[in-house]
Amino acid sequence: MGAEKAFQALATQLHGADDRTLLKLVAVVDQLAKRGSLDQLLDEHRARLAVIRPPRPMTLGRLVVLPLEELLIDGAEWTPGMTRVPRDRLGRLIELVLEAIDPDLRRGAASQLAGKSMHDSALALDVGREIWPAAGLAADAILARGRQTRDTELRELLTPLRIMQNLMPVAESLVTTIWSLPDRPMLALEPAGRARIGALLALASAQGRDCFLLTAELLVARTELPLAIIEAVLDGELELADRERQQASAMIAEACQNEMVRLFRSVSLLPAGTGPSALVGPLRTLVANLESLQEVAQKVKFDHRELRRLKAEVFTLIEARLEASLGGALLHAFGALDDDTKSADCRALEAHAMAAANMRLMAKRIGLATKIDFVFAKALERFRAILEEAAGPGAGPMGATMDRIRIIELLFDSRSAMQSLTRLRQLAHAARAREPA
Amino acid sequence: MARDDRQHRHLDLAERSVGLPFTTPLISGAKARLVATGGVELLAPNPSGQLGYYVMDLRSLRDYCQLTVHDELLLEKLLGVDVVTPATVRRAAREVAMEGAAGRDAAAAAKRAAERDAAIVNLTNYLMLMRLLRAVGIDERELQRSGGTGRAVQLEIKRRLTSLSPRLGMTADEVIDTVGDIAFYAAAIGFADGELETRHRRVLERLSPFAADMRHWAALETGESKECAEQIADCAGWTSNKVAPLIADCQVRLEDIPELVRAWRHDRGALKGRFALPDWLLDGWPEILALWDSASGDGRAAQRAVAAQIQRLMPLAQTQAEGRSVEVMRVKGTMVHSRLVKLHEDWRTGVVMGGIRARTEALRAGVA
Repeated sequence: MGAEKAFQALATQLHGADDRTLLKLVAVVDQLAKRGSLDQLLDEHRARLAVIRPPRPMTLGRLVVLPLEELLIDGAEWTPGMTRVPRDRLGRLIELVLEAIDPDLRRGAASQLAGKSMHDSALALDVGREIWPAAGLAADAILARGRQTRDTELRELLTPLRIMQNLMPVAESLVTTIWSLPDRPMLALEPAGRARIGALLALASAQGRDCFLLTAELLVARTELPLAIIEAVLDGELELADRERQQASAMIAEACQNEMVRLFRSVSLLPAGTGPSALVGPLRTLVANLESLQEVAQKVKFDHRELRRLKAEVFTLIEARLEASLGGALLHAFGALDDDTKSADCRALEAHAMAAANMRLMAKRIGLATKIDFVFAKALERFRAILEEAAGPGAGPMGATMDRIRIIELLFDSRSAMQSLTRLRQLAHAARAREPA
Repeated sequence: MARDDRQHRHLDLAERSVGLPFTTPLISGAKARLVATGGVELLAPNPSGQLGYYVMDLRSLRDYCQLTVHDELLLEKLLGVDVVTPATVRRAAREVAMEGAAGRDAAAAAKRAAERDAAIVNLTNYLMLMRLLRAVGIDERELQRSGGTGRAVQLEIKRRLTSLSPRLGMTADEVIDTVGDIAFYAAAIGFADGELETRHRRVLERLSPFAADMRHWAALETGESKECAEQIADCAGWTSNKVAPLIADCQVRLEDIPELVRAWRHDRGALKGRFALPDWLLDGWPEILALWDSASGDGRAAQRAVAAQIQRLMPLAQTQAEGRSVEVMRVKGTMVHSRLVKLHEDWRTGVVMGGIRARTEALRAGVA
């Protein structure tokens, strides 16, 4: 089998793989010295891998980039100059940095990591304390010669190298702070979390402006709560004057807003038939950031008109996608449910329903609640009509009916679902009463 | 009083509560307990997430919060049962799950669990009858050699038991009924030399390792989280230490079936209580163990949240002994919790409607 065919076969296998098989395949890929395009294959499954958390072997390369993890993005999304690290260039970046580290230190660290997994956080910190400062110095040295180079590959790595150069001096604090934060999505940060972020920003500000701004950007990416970061910048004990604090906050807000505009454009371009489950993640990020930015709007100077425009556009997008989904794919799948429907399909439909309900709540936060409630009220009538028709005389057993009740519950609410169930019981009772004795 | 005794002083069944497997996040971890007047009280964890429970009549639950369809159906069943015990709650919950109210996976798991339990009860019943015959000098292998149908074997057992009636002081039918009654409780306990993986044995075997794991995990924690994990580990260790001898005592009684049958007939209440006690003490632990398993691959932050959720599921007696309050709350028909509405409408976590509920349903499927 040619390499191309083998690649395709693996891609197909990954797509249909259950969690256990996916973990096995990832373990095989992790064993390879040269991963190349295999990393691209895994990129498509990163969201799933983040949930099932395979134990990844701890390697020196993985440890070096651990502090930058929140800034990693898909290669396709990255453009030179963007303060993010593209995954598809990570291999080369690690290679360059490790080459520039003292070989004895490198070998010693590698031998400590042998056979360990990334779950061993104590070891990661122990070895990281030695390797991160060295990686920062290595990035510094490569940057010095890289600025004059004509090597395009190296030139494209200048921004990731600059990120590494600036963040490595605060790497330990960065990693421990990130670990201490609650998992995504975060509703709000507790005082202890804010204090830890404040301490990290103070440490970063003492390292210089670039380190401070990159740390702030990384924290925004991790928390998706610019408010928490901007508050820490405005009120924290930092080595920054008031004016600089204002400037830094405005930069964070502006950067966040630009990121939201970019995200909005990419979501708008998704095909019309994209299901709610695929939309809900990016929309959640969009709405959370819009709300967060709105809260700091009074304290920080940035383009408020752009913020309002973006809010209106996001609302319109959610409304249109919900209308299409409730009257199209979701309704159709709801009608097609029967006892032969596979459990996996049933679960997928439930996930779509849950995502659509979530989108409704998002829309209510940034737009007219009555408008979005009207969309759902009309949809409920259509869903109920299908339910009653399918559960009518001569219909199949209760199984699919209960599946439909669950979908109504997830999509609308449990009150609507109970009303539907009560109505079905009344209809069944009336039908029995009409039967001849 | 030693710390361990102080923490776990409530052993009386009347004081113990039964965990209710609700899927509505606000009442996840709620418990029911009998009251002197004959009604059933619901103890719902403080909705603010702070310490303490709210106590209300089970019938007022619908006024307290909007229930999921699963919980509406479960409540209907619970209001119809004569006595609230771990066994009756388990049966009601299984029936609701089998209707599909907690999803297809939970329905299939509940069906499998009901079939497995029924098979174990039948097998225990049969083995007890065989032991009874052996104890009075009848070679049960003759019955097995006869090769008849189940019905034929039953009739043969009955015929042979008739000859024992004077010795046991009861008719053959009474003996068979009593053995059947005991088998219902003994099935979860099993015989001392039995190889059957009974429900209690399955849970008990995991309690001590779980306590050790929790202590190990707590070693890297600080503050409230550490305290919470240590309490859970203490409670698991205590439960294991208490339940093991209780089960051993029941197994000793199962060694002498004729005597057990006679004693059961004479004082059913006391013996039934003794055989049912492990079920009360182990109530809620399968869910706790499954919950901790489900978080095994998660990060520390997620595990901390799960530990807090486990604390809500711990036996109420433990919670009270820790000095936490049980507040009586009068529930009115018009009551609306602003916090509930906010949580219910929270789109950013999606957790209230989605995550927590889905996790609870998945757990239900796992521990049906």
